[in-house]
Amino acid sequence: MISTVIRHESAMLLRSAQIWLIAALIAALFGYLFLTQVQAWLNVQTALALEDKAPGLTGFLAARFLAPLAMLFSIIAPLFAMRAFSNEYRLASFPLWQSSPISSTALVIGKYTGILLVLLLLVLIPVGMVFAMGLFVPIDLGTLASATLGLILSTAAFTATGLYFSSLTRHAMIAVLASLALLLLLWLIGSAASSAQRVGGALPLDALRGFSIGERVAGFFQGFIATGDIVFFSVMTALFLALTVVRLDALRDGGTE
Amino acid sequence: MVALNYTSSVPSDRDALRTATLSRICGRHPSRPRFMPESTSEILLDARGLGRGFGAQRRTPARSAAPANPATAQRGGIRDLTLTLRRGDVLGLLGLNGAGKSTTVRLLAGVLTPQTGSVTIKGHSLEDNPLDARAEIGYLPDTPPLYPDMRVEAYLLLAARLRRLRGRTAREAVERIIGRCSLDTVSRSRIATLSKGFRQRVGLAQALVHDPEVLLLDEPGNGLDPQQTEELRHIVSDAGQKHCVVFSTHLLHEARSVCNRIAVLHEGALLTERPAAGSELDELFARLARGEPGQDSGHKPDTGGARPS
Amino acid sequence: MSGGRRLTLLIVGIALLAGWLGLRFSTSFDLTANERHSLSSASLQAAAALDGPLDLIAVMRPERTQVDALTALVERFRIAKPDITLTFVNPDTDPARARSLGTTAGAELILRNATREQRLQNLSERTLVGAMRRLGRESDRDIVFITGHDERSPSLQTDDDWSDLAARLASSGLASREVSLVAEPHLAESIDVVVLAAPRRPYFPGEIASLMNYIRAGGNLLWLAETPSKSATGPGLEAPDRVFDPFYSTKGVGEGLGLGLSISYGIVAGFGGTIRADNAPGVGAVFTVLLRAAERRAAA
Repeated sequence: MISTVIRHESAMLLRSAQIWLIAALIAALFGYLFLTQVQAWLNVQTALALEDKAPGLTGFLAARFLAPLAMLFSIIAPLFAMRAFSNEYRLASFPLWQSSPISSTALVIGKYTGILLVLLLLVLIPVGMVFAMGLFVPIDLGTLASATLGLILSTAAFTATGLYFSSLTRHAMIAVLASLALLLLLWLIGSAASSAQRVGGALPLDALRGFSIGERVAGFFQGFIATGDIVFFSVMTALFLALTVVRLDALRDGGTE
Repeated sequence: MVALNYTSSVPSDRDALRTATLSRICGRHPSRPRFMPESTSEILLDARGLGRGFGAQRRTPARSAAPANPATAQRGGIRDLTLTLRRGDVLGLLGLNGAGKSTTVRLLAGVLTPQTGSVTIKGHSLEDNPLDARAEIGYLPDTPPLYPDMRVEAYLLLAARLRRLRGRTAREAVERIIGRCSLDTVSRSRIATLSKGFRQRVGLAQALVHDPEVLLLDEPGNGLDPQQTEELRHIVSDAGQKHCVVFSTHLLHEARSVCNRIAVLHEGALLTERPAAGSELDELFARLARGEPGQDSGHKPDTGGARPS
Repeated sequence: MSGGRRLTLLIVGIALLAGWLGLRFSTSFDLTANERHSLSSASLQAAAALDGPLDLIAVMRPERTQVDALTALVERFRIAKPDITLTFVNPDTDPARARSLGTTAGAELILRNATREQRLQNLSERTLVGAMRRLGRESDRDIVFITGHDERSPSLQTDDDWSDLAARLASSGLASREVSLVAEPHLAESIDVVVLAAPRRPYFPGEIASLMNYIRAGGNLLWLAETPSKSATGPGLEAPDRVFDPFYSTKGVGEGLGLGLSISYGIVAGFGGTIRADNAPGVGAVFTVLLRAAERRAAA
């Protein structure tokens, strides 16, 4: 049953012209960023080699090319997810699911996975670009794997957020704006809190540092995996998926779209 | 409150037909659980004491047949509704707009949860066992739940898979329903390109693709031309013979042409529920149309559930 | 719909709890090929060997990347030694404190353990470990005088030599010894200070390399230069106030980096002393080094 939903949702996305347009633009952006960062590496390579424990090509690309992509995907993922439920409400096709023998949980998981699979194809492009360097020079697979994990986990969390907001309203535009607002807030919390805390600033901001996406995701792109960061993104994903299920059940009780 | 266990005056030749179709049904869907009918007139849908106010509200803890507050049964709300359908019944749900027809159908389909009362489909409670219950339901809302940029065949295949049909069984069911609903000419077309009549037919097809025991249609005749209405009537009565149907409309003649029993809703309450034939219905309906308070003077409530032999 | 609302609150609550627990009990794995993020076991041992809490005071301007880098580095040491505290003092906003800590120029990291103290200007895993090692040794300081090039010797008793100084040092718990870089080219990082006591003959390239390695590893070098005591006047200083700047050199390209005096300055300052350069008429360049004799007691 879930696989039916997954296939349906992925097919819906891949049929959409807007999605392909966005994907094409993103791919062009990947290419540009990749080339500029490789050029930057060539300029800096010899100086870095003198340093103690300096990053190599892979480490450099992970931090300068892949890391900013996490922020990019925090915009793309809600864009991909915004139609998931909003469209159903607008087309009045939601009763098809409500009257079928499929639970809200299965529906949410199916839609989510369908969207995430398409997004992961996009994630693979920049990772593949770095991996392809391995045909010419030795690359650090450990760092690349860690950066890939960081991209996957963060994209998964952003998709769940977008899906939840989509389930709240029939207007896709409101859904995507709300997701973007929340994610932007989480990105900003980190930079404000951390610089204040370090040099004796106001204390309460320190507690908010735990919510900072920027801090939680940075480690992956430096080549080390912290279980706390993995937990953060997993919990964020699970939270929004659970909230979506609750929202769908509430619609049965007569909530409004 | 008028609580009814209706008596069904089903002609006896239907029994034979029913037995024959029952055995065909057993063989047709091997993935479905086999059932053992206790009597020849199996109860397929049993709704008791259904109540629902308007808007988002919590389900009340006491799930007895105690009536909900009458004041909450506003436009579209329901109070204390009880219906029982057996195999072969085509029940027409009649009423003015706002009487609660759509709400009733949605409650029966499991799309809405009731505040009081319960619905049981083929022995599965919608509250305790929703997935198994919904597997036996085919529901067509007043706006057919279509995806404009899907092709008809793909859409019906999706619907079939959603209703627990697998692989080849699903594809065969889709072919069958395309033939049955005369969708052959448009089966490869995108739904967005179809006319209203065809869209209604696709909506009906999605409700029937898995040959459900309980078919729930919410104003299916809206906007159909006479030929399409005739086709609809044909499909509905065909389904009614093998299973059971709830057909909501606000036109008495339309209900009469298809249904063997008619229930009249007015302001959220069930006024009467009787065989389709009979002039009392015309009288009652005319009174409602004139805006007079609804009361079925000639009908006495039946106690017990015994059927006349 | 308070049932749904309660459920929502419960879900959010569980999520917050799970997140907090995850961050609290987080372990890390370093996947980089050159293990950039891990400390070598020797480093961790050096940290663990310290008794009592280690207080790190970073006197520096709060430049974001440096603050983050330092914090991350200290965090890694905390695996072996949890009781490391790190505080930052901004000399711009808190100049009084910076002065009371004795920081004169630039940025500095002060390490304090029990009653001992070390100071670092260049920060890396290696220099930090060296400083920790020096802190960790409870025994006497290890002061090494380089010999072999007509330096002032701490052991010989002639008028020209510094046996008196050595005796004074020894009485303060500062044992000194002589080392020839030709015989023992490697200078251990645990040496507290290496003294070049006015060599009158130039060093070999290999010896210079040993010295540079020792300095790069965070060691302290005290390079005492003096003018010829008799006859001809020595070269004067062109710019006495600039002579301690790093890379300032009156020599041409290829004849030294011009780091020697700036290193001296830093090291002398690290010991709480001062070094001055003057032009004395009729004598030439005079460098005055003032050191405190007693071992430093950490300020309360």
